[in-house]
Amino acid sequence: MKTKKLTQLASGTSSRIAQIRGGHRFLSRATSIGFTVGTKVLVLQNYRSLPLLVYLRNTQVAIDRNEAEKIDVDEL
Amino acid sequence: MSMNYKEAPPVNSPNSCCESPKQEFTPSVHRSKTIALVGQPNTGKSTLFNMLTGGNQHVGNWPGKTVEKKEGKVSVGDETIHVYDLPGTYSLTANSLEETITRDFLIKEQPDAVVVVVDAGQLERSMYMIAEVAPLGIQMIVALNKMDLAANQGYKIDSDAFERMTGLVTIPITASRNKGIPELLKAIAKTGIAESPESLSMALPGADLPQYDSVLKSVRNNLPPGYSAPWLTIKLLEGDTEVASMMAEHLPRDSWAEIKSILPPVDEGQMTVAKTRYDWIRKYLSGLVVSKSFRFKRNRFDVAATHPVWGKLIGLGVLFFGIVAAYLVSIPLMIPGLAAFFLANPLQQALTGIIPTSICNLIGDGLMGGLSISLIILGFIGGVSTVLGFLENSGYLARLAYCFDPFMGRIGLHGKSIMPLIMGFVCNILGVAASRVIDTWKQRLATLAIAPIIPCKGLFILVSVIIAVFFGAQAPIIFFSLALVTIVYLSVTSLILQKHILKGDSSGLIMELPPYHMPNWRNIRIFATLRMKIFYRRGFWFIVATCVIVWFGIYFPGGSIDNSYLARFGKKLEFFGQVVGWDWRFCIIFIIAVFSKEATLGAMAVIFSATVNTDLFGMAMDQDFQAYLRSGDFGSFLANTGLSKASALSFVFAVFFSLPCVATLAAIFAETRSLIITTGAFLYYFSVSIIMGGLAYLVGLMVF
Ligand SMILES: Nc1nc2c(ncn2[C@@H]2O[C@H](COP(=O)(O)OP(=O)(O)OP(=O)(O)O)[C@@H](O)[C@H]2O)c(=O)[nH]1
Ligand SMILES: [Mg+2]
Repeated sequence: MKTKKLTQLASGTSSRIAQIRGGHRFLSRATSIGFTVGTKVLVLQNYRSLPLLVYLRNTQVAIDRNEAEKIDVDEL
Repeated sequence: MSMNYKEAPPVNSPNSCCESPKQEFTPSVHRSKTIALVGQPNTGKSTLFNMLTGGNQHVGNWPGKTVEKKEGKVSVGDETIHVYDLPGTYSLTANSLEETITRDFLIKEQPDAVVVVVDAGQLERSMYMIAEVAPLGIQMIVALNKMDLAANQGYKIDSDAFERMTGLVTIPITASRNKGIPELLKAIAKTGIAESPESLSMALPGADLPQYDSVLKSVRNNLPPGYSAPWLTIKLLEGDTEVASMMAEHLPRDSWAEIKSILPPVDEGQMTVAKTRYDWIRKYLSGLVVSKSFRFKRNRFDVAATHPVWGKLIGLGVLFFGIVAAYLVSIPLMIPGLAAFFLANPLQQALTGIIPTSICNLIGDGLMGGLSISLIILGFIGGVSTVLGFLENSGYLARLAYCFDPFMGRIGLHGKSIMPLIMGFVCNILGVAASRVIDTWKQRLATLAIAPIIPCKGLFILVSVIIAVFFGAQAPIIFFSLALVTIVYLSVTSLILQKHILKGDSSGLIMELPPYHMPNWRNIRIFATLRMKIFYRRGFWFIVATCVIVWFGIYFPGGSIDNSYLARFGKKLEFFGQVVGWDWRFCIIFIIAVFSKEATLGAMAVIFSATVNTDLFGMAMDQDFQAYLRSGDFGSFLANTGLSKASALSFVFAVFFSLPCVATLAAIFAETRSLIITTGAFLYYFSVSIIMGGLAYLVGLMVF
């Protein structure tokens, strides 16, 4: 099991969040929409030119690539 | 149509300190209650609000803020219930104006109960708000919304068990189909004074964060009036900067220092608090929700709608049809406007001879003209709001925003801004009205500020004719340079915005893409009607008055434009105009262009046919372009007006960048409800237009 950045996962990959870095504002926004350590995240689509599209906690969420960089995950 | 809405009775005096205001007793027969709707974005608060209150709504401002405050009322028996639709936020940490407003309302206005709207299809996430509100110690009712969606996804939710386990009154509803609303109302009417149930304390991070108890103790010892100690403690642990600075001010210095020394690092505190909440949610869900192994699958349309290429094409197509639809919807609403327009002449004739000519003209040209413009704009706003409501309610808008977010991000705007900006090409008023789709106030303000830079259709026609008449074959080059300058102008303005308005807000997109569904028409209708009401109150008569005043300036005292107050005013302005070589005629045309792009050509034709020998302008304007082109007489018009090419260039630039028309300013005022912002926008664009004119003159001197 290797820890990667969320943006490094291909579409269709399941993963579990290992760590979230970032400032107060980002952490607060990310945790309240559902990104917390241990949460399962499925990458739905990962195009370089668009925000990352993921599925977590019953929700389809778009997240800016720069922000997604701050989320480390373990591939499942 | 005025809203017969009375000021809400003093619910509880805001900022009341010292004692709990709930003990106040109203002896009258008419009892009243205040209820706030809170919940994460997109859980259906506004839909529920519309269903609860019907059209009985009132929009004001939050004190000192320019965010809309939506209030409505509904009667249950002899009791009036005042309902507030609070902005949707993911948490109650002060990250944005919306979050601050929501929590300040809950703390300072002390509603009798909070209805936490939860999305039954996304319980795990949307229950987070219950955990956020719990430590505030306000009575909660849970509205389990979107039960239809939950059923579609195969969830079976036992709301009675939910109620038993959480200790919170829980009502399953489907707001968009008006289901469960009477039951919810009954529950609201029954609320009394109750302690928050024991089970909720499990949403507090006591066990997970050892610091919790000691911080709580210090906070309790110095509790600022009106606040709940557990809530303050949690916010301190989460590193909420606003609460921290409030406590720093309120507490004796050594107690604050003591607390600060105990607090965990911000990220640890934040992550742990969030984890406690989700653990609490999980614990309930495991016992409550039976799901038929639901596997999330995206449908083909969604895959296309979020594709880097197809998604953008679909988006542009949808916007195009959206604009067409906005026109179609607005047709019935525009009919009175057009009627006013066509009635103006017969009315004028009918009145001639009965009352003095000047009053006839005042009614026919000024008043009816103004009414007609205002009514047409009112129709526009109704049309665009309907389309907006449809796109947002169907769930598509989030996809559009997703596809254009990187592009819009480059000028510091949110992906949703694409819609107002594109609509701005048709008419800036559409753009301004469409800015309503943007969720946060700062982003909306930035979009509103940028929208009027977009050259609208009316401006295009006006400037094309002017350029063709002035420059003939060189017109394409002039157009090209206008386009280039517009791009520079947009970028510079967005830089200014990012520096001043958007500072501290640069965090990138994190947005939910809601599932698609069929919108509820009643909901959309209530939304569109409300937007029209707001414009009617804040913009409608302003435009009519402006038209009458402009008419007055053009008509008096001589009865024609070249012998009018406006002309006299223009001659005064000639002093400034001469700097770039404009005579009084160009000065007043510029002023008229500021008021209305559409009216400018007509005014030019009148002025020039009265003062210049050739009627070239009239010819070009009547779209008799062929005759005009055949005459091959491009230079003569300029020669006849006595304008040099450099001055003509400066005129074209000044007009092209002349500020949003008066109607757009009125729309900006209706949207922001702020005189300061509207005047600020006016001054900004006006100065830019003057500067552009000056610079173009200098360039013209060098080039020609
Ligand atoms: N299927 C279904 N959809 C609903 C229901 N209630 C609301 N919706 C839809 O959910 C979406 C969001 O509704 P809104 O009322 O705008 O949500 P909100 O909570 O006010 O959102 P914000 O103002 O952004 O916080 C809309 O598309 C509604 O049509 C429901 O009971 N069932
Ligand atoms: Mg809403």
